[in-house]
Parts: sequence; C-alpha cells; structure tokens
Amino acid sequence: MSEAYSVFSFHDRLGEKVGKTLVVGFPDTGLAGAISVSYAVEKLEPEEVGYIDSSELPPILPIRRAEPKELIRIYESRNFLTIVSEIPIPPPLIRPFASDLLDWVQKKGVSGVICLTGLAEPKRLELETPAVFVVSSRPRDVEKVAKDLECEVFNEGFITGIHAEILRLGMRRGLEVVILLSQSHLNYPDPGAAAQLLNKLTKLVNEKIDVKPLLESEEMVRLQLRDLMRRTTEAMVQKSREMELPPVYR
Amino acid sequence: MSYSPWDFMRRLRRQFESEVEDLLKTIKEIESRTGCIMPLYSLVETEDEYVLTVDMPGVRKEDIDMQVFEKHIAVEAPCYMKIPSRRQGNRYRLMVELPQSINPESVRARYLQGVLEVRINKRTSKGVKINIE
Repeated sequence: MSEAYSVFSFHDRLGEKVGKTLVVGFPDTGLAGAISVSYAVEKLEPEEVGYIDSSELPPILPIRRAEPKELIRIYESRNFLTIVSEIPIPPPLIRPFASDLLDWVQKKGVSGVICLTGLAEPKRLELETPAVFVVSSRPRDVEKVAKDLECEVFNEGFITGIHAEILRLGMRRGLEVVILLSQSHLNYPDPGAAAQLLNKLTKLVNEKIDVKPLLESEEMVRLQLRDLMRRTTEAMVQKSREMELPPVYR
Repeated sequence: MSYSPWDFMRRLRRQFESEVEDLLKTIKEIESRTGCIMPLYSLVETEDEYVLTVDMPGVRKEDIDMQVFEKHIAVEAPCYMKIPSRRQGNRYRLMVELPQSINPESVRARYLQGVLEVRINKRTSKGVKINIE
C-alpha cells in the first residue's frame, strides 16, 4: 500500500472479498457523475453498507427524507458497489482520498472501478444528446470497451481531479479503472449528461436503469442542485488555480 | 516552535471552506430577503466578446425581462416550477456587473435548453491615426 497512514477511514459491513465492480461519480464537471450515481441508488435501492470518514472533511450532515446521512456513503446492489458523495472531495485531499480508496478496493477484492464524470463542452447548448467517451487504465482493452458501449475513445487531452487520480493509481497498481466522460455543462448541473452516462453504465454492470424519469425532472434537478454546484465550482476553481489548467478539456 | 506543512495546508483548506460557506450564506440571505431565486451564472471573456450564461430552467422565453446597461446586466423572470423549499420565491433575479463598459446595442441573447445565453461585444479601442503637420 502506498501511504504510510490513512487520512480516510472506511467503515463497511461487506464481506472479506466482494468481487464486484465499484461505481463512483464524485461531484465535478456539471455534476454529471454525481447525478448518475445518486439516481442509480434512488432507482435500484441498494443496501447502504458503509461510509467513508475523515477528520479533514467539513462538519456537514446531510438530511435526506428526515434521515441524517453520512457525507460519503457505500452501497451494495446485486451486481456492483456504489459510492455516493454529498460534497466534492476538497482539492488538497484528492491524492490521499484516491490512495485510501484504492487501498480499500484492493483489500476488498473489488474487481474494477468505473468512474462517471462530465467533460466540459463549451458548445453543450447546441447538443441534443451529449457524446460519451471512455478511457481505461488498460489502453489495450479500451477499443473493445468503446465498441461494446457504442462510445468513443478519449484520445487526447487532460483529465483532472479525483477521477484522474483514481485512474493514475489504478494504472500504477495494475487495477482496472474505466472512466466514462459525458459532454456536459461545466458550471451547471447537467442531468442530460448524467442520463447518457447511465445508458452506458447499464451495459457495463448488467443492470437496467430507466433514465426517462430523470430526463422528465431535469429542470427540477438543476434547480435543486444549485448549492452543490456552487460548492463544486469553487473547488474546481481552487484546483485549477493550483494546476493553472482549466478543470477538464480536450 | 515546530511548524508542520500539514497545518499550513489545513489552515488554507479551512479558510477556503469558510469562504465557500460565507458565499452560500450570503446567497441564501439575499434569496430570503428578496424572495427571489439567484440562478447559477457564468461570465466568460473571449478575445472580442463576453459570454454570459444564466441557468434558468422552468422559464418561458417571452417572460424573460433583460435590461442591459453600460456596466451591468439585469435579468428577471418568473419560474413556473413548483419549488419545494420555502426559502425562495418563484422568480429568478440576477444582476451581473461587467468588467468594462459595453455598448448595450451590441448585445444578443437566446434562451436554449433552460439556459439564457447573452453575447456582448467588447468595445474596441482602436488607435486613431494622426497626421503629423
């Protein structure tokens, strides 16, 4: 394991070796990944089996349907595990978080990681259906994954933030990490982009998720996620300042 | 006195978090005081124009009231969605200050997929050639 000590602690009721795929979508570009995983959890109603904590996280407690919830939660459904985060991972914690996450992935015998995220598209307004791109820690397999999912390979550009770090560490540790990127608004919640990610995810995890209700309630989702989008935008701006790069571009 | 780089990073992060919380608190205060929804917006500068986009889902194009001044743009529109939170009203209101004076006549706007896009030509300050006597 790469870190001498852990910043994040993982608390779960999972067995010793899970053998399932992990799906994550942390708040970033257009909240596309975060909307996708939250919607998948709402529709599939998996069991909440744990949470991730750190003394470095802000003191925020989300309340959902009158129930206090953990900030970063772990769910287990029939075919895969999901992590839902109510906050963007603070930029200085991205590296330790990715490292601790992959330590946990290896310890639990998780078979692979799928990251769902947005790809900032300046002309998003002109697009009826955003395209989805794929990148993998195993470049030899990426063409096949793209063909199976009927999406394009992400050939040139940069990916930054938490999903980039998970990919980098996955590559170094020989783990299978696949990132699906959907063309998305940068600073506005984008349920349309999230729906495209879910359409591709269903093929990867062999689970049916009907995105029609998500698209029908798109306007309400956008309005309700304004605070999370503001928090996320501030975090992306802070990260960009550190890197002197736009958050995501290709 | 010992000094840890972790302490420095932690202080920086807490300062950043406190700034974000202050920003969100200010927005909530404005919303509850005015009874209006402050929409998400973004102002991007290109070589020859500013592009302002405002996320305003649930609006009818013909109901958008946009006033353009030399140094700022004001947008207001009723929102036709049932909003679950009581802290806001059902009206968007936004005032955006521009980095420099513009010619209000040069402004073009469209409303697409719930996003208002406003394109504002920059005032060019071309040099004037002076003949030497």
